[in-house]
Amino acid sequence: MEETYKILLDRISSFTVLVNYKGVILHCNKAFATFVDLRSADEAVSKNLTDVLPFSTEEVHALKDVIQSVAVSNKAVADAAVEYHLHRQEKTIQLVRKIFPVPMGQGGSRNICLVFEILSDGNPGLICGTEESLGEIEKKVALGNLLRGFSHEVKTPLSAIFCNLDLMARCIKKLGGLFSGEEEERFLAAHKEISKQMDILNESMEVNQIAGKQVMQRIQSLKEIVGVDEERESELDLKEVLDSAIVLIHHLTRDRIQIRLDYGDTPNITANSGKLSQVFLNILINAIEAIHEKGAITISTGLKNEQVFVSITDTGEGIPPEHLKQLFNQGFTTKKCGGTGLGLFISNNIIRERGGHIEVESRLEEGTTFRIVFPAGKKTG
Amino acid sequence: MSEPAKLVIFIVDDEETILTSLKNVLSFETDHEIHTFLSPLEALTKGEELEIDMVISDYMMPDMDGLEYLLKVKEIKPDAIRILLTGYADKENAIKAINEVGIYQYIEKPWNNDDLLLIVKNGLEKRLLIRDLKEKIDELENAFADLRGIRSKILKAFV
Repeated sequence: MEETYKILLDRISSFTVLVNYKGVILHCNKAFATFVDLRSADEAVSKNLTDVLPFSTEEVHALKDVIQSVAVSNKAVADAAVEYHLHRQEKTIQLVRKIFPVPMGQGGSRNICLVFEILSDGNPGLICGTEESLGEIEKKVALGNLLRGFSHEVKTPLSAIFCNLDLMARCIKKLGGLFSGEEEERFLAAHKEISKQMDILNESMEVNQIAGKQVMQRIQSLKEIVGVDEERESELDLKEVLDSAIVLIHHLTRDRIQIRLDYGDTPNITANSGKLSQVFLNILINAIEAIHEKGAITISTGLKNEQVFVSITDTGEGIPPEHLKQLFNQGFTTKKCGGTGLGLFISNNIIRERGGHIEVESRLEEGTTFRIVFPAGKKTG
Repeated sequence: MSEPAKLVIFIVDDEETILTSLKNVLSFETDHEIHTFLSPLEALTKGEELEIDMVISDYMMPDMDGLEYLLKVKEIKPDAIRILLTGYADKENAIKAINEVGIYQYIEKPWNNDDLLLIVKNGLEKRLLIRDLKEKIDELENAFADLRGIRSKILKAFV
């Protein structure tokens, strides 16, 4: 269990460190170790936090005071941005701090957890959790969720296939038994029986064909998403990318949410199909979550002013105006559980990389439209 | 036991492939009258006009879930044997169903046809036994009432 937490902690790009009330480091993640110039997280353990932080002496003392006040008051502290001077590099960075008590020390004493996030520093080398690795995490979370639903989706057609295969075997066995007689009367009876069995066999075959196709289609969609790792770009038909994303969310919409398609003519675009699917999936899953009871999602595509657009409109709860500005910010989420606040942030970056942008329009209680716009034609460069 | 007449089986599942598959297996191996429904609501309407001996219902359905439907069946046709078909390997729901709704059995997807047929056969046997038992109880009660009538007549004749 502890190993799992360690891996989890190392995946977090924020500098995270756990100290006891004296300021002695109990645990920290890789990002923190790198930040304080230590080779590994283990090396930081049992050192004093004040000795390893690369800040000025006054800043370290001020931070120590904050830690002690958190330990005494048992209340978390979070603040917007605090400036710190890195004495080794002679530069200033802005850190967002979250300091909170963790009641798990021995003898009831409290440990303190500190989480720092760099706001801006102009030196990308310092940030260990780059955007790429954040994307990896988000992708894994999304994949995990999709796979769970997916395995259920595949089970249904497979159940039918297994059932029918067995039924066909039974039919064939019965048919075989019918041919053992010789008298004409028995042959006539057999003829009647044969045509009945043939009907069943035919129907079974048909069902199996449909079910088999369903399995193949679903596996194909999954493959496209897993192909996210591939950086390869290819000529894509937007409709095909959208269709496979829709197949993957089928288990979430079923009959609760109607999917309306309004595909206009769009030229093929050059892009990475996995990344593009990820954008559509992120927006579609948000749309599904915005609809509480029944509703509809309309997906339309088209070409306007030499720009290709895909718009996804839901009839959900809408986004409050105060949230609209933050929508694409890293870490912004309103989801009660499981939200990483990375979905739209990454989606926006993927589209911007491709020279496009995402527009949002939303009315409370009426719904939201996400419009993904990118230049038609081949990507330059 | 009385002559095994044609028994009526309802199958309810929102997936057409499953519905057709189940219907074909049961009509291949048994002589019962099979009715299939894509929605529990449809099945409830049809159920009003028919005597039902067994209901096999999927769990996850859009209009009404399988448990809710089987509970309604229990109210309307208390003697029909109720079987739940579940897609998730989630025992929790199945146990909940057995306890709260009082179902006869649950079948997990993907199922084995031999198991399915055995469950259906045993379920229908139980249904017939209970029906026979009820008939016997009715007969006994009638005979008892007759006896009481005769006894009072005899008593009257003597008094």
